[in-house]
Amino acid sequence: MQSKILYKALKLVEEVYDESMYGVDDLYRIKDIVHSVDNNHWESKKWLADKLFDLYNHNAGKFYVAGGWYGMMAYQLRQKWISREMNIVSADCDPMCEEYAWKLFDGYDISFKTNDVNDEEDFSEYTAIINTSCEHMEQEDLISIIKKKDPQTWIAFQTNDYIDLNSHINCWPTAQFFAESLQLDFLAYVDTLQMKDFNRFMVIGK
Amino acid sequence: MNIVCVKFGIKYGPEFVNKLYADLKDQPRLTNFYCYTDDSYGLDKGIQVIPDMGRPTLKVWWNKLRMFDKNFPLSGETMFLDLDVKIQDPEKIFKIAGQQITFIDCHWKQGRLYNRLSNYDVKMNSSMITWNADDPEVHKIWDHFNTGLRDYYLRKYKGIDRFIVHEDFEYDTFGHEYIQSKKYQPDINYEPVITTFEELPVAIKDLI
Repeated sequence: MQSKILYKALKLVEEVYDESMYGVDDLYRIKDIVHSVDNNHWESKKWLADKLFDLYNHNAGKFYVAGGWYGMMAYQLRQKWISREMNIVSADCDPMCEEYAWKLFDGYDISFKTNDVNDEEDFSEYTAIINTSCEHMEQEDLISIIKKKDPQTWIAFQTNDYIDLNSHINCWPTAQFFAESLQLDFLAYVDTLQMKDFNRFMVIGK
Repeated sequence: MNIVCVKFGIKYGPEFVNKLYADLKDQPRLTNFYCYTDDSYGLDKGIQVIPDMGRPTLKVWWNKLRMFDKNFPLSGETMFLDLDVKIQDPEKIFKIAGQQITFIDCHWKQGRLYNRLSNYDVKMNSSMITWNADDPEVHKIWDHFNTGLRDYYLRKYKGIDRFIVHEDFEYDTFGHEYIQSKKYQPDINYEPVITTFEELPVAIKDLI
């Protein structure tokens, strides 16, 4: 399964290169797409899917993946929730993410869309909100998501302590600090995944 | 003309802002001297502080783009200077504004490496910028940055220079005779208005 995704990523890279010659020159997409399927992202998103699967303990529902990028998080969720009774929506404010996600993860019954999570007024239809891009988002927006959701809706959020990137505007020094910052009513899981150069933190709760 | 500088983070202390202000404060064409900053501690009293305007949160040099927000509290002819710039001719600096937004031409970046079509590095530099703060064309730079692609731009581009060039904004450049790059032009036979220490470590004593 992993080789199939990596092959699709390679074909996408080829497409981006071809497009750079005859249309929009955006070769950085190649690096971005490669990052999105690298081992760091594969492992950290699989970690979330595995832990949430244990805690959620249902086959049915509707998941919203905020900042879903090119779809790896949604794909990892689908690997655990194989039933059609689980509806998975992956949203990102970058319109190219939707276009490439459909190509990378076509056939996995995932709905990709272009949307800024801050424009979502109503989360009541979702049984879990997943966000592995918290380091890229304003803290008050994370709090706003939590305040807008139904009290029984799960959240599964990840951030990290990798402060050296300019796009990382919301890093935290420890998983516990990150958990406290979210002001959840119920904490089910708080832990750290040590990566090669940084730590990834995850909080699951309601 | 307004002079504005940007100080975010801890790379440069208030002494760099105060030095720039001291070099320019007596010039008759100076309207006001502004510092856009997240920490105004230690700045001289004559400096007009523009506090951090908040969302979107930006890190270090990306805050320079905020100057092109139509809500940024400046009006009229404006010049930005980096804090690692040494003022060589404080009088002449007020006479070199371009017709549209104007940056430094890095004419010293020559050779095959820089001329490749696929090269992401650019031959302009934002250590000194002049523009009219009321110009709607300039406001488009900030508006363009704040689309759904903002986070992508922050990953894609090392800084605002590459963002402005690769996102196809039009700009002018200053005459070469006004600028010295300390790194690339250590010895020159003309009298520049500024020396930029871009890509070099700089201490306050280097700017005196």
